[in-house]
This record gives sequence, structure tokens and C-alpha cells, in this order.
Amino acid sequence: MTLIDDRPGTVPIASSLTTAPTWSSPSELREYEHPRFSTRQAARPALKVYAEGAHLPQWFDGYLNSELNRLFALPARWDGLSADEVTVEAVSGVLAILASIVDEATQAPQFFPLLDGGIQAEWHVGGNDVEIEIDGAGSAYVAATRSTGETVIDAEIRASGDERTISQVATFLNELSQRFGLAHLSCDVRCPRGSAVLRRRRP
Amino acid sequence: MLYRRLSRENPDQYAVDTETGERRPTSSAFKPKRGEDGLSVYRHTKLAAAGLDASAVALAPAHIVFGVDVGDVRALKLGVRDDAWPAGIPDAGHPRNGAHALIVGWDHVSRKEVGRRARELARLASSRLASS
Repeated sequence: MTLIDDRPGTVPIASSLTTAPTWSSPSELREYEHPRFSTRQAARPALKVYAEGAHLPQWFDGYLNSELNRLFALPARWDGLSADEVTVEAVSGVLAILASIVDEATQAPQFFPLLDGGIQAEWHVGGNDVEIEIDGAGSAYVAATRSTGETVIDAEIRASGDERTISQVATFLNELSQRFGLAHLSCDVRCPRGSAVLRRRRP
Repeated sequence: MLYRRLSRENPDQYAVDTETGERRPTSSAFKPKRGEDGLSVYRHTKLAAAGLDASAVALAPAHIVFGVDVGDVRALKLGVRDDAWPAGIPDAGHPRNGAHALIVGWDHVSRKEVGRRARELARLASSRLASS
């Protein structure tokens, strides 16, 4: 389902998501301080993620809001050189891709800014890696490898009209998320939902 | 040896393996900005000539400096070009900037290959922590 928020000043997001700026007080300034220099710039209005649709994980709303706004609030030249501010297009792109590949069990990714204003979402589980790069213009690329070095996928990805790539990524993430869930149990117990026996974590 | 500055906060450029707990640089920290010449680094030899070491590359307590061998960079079909005293950066007159260089060779490289090289640089850098 596509939901577009048409309130003034908002950014329309497809794929069951919408964002709406929540405007900070005009008198608020955010200061980027560090020992060598400081700059003052007006705070960017925060983005608000509204997630709709079934089969989204619990972290999709709160965690995404906090993490994406944390990156969105980074000032220009956050690297001390020439980095751009994270773009709305990158945030939109991240949301659209995530909504298409995650389900209730998917582990939350880690997010990192890119110098061109993009965002990179990453999962690392036992040496298995998934990295989804969304550039400042919002276009996405996924690279996923197993701990053995085998490439699972290394290609452009689109939130819609790209079912094969989405399916490959979603399947691998599901596998990793199940593994992550098992890895956090430290005793031999029988899973209450089924017949799987969970192994003790290797030291 | 080349030094690259990463951050531990605002933003945190460490990725964590949620199963092993291993922390390592994110490959995003080794992807150049599109349209720019290359990836910013500092040459050890020129820092040393100015009486400085890797710690001079850090601008704030939250920064951490990683080292990458020039030979490893060249093995990735990348190059290193001096870019001393770049303009328009904070503290432009600091002596460290005489050692500034760029890892170049990203032009006309596919997105797939940029990612591959960045991941490899991150992997190499994680094994050579220069200062903290």
C-alpha cells in the first residue's frame, strides 16, 4: 500500500511509508563542536517515519526514527573535510528498500553516513555480511557475502519491480536473523514454538 | 603507510558483528565522495618529516586513525596522489596538511568495484590501528 502524506512541507515516500518533518523551534541551533573548530548552523527539521503495513519488525518505527534522524542531523563536513549532509532522498531510499526486504523477524541494521549524503545499512552476523548502499540521490546497491567468502548477491536493488533481487536479499537476511536470534541464547533449551533444540554458543 | 581518520561517535563508523562482537570499520568510511578526486589520507613519511605521528591526524577525541600500506592500496588497482595543503578545510594551516594525500583511481570504476575496493580497504585498515 502506498501512502502519501500531502501536508505542506512534507516529503512523500512510497511503499507504505511516509515522512513528515517535525519542525524545531527556529531559535534552536545545533553546534558542531570539536577541539579545532566549531561551526554553527540551523538545525535541520527532523524527519518522522510512519510505517504502515503488515509484517514489519518492531524496530521499524522507533529505531528507524532515532537512527535516521541521527544521521540526518549530521552537519555538512561531518568528516572534517567535505562530506555532504544526508539527503532526504537517501532517507526515503533506505525506508523503501527496508520495507521491501524485512519481516517481523529481521534483525535491525546498523546505519552509517556516506560522504555524498547517502546512507549505508549493514548487517554483520558471524562473518556473514549484508551492505545496502543508498547514495545521495536515493539509488540503492546491495552486496552480501557469506562467511566463506561466497557472494550471495552484488547488484543494484530497487524497492519495487525487482522481486528477484529483493527475494534473494530477504531470504539471506532471514537466515542471518534466525542465526542472530539463536546466538543470543546461551543454554540448551527446547524452543517453545517448535522442535528445534538450540545449541550452546561456542566459546 | 597511509593514515585515514574515522570517528567513533557522531557518526560512529564502526560496524559490529552481532554474533562475534567484533568491531571493525564500516566500508562506507572508505568510499570516496562521488565527483571528488579521491579518498583523503595522510602520508606517514611526510607527517614524520614534520615531527608528527598518526595521532596528529585525529581532530577530536572521538576520532580514531587507521593505517593502510601503500602496497595494499596499489594491489587494489588504486593509487596515491599527494594533495598537500588542501583548501577549504578546517585548520588548513596545521602542519598535518602538508602530508595530505588522496587514494585515487576511483574514476570510471563501477559501483560494484567501488564497493569491493572499499570493503577490502576497511578489512586491511581494521588490522592496523594506528592510534586511538
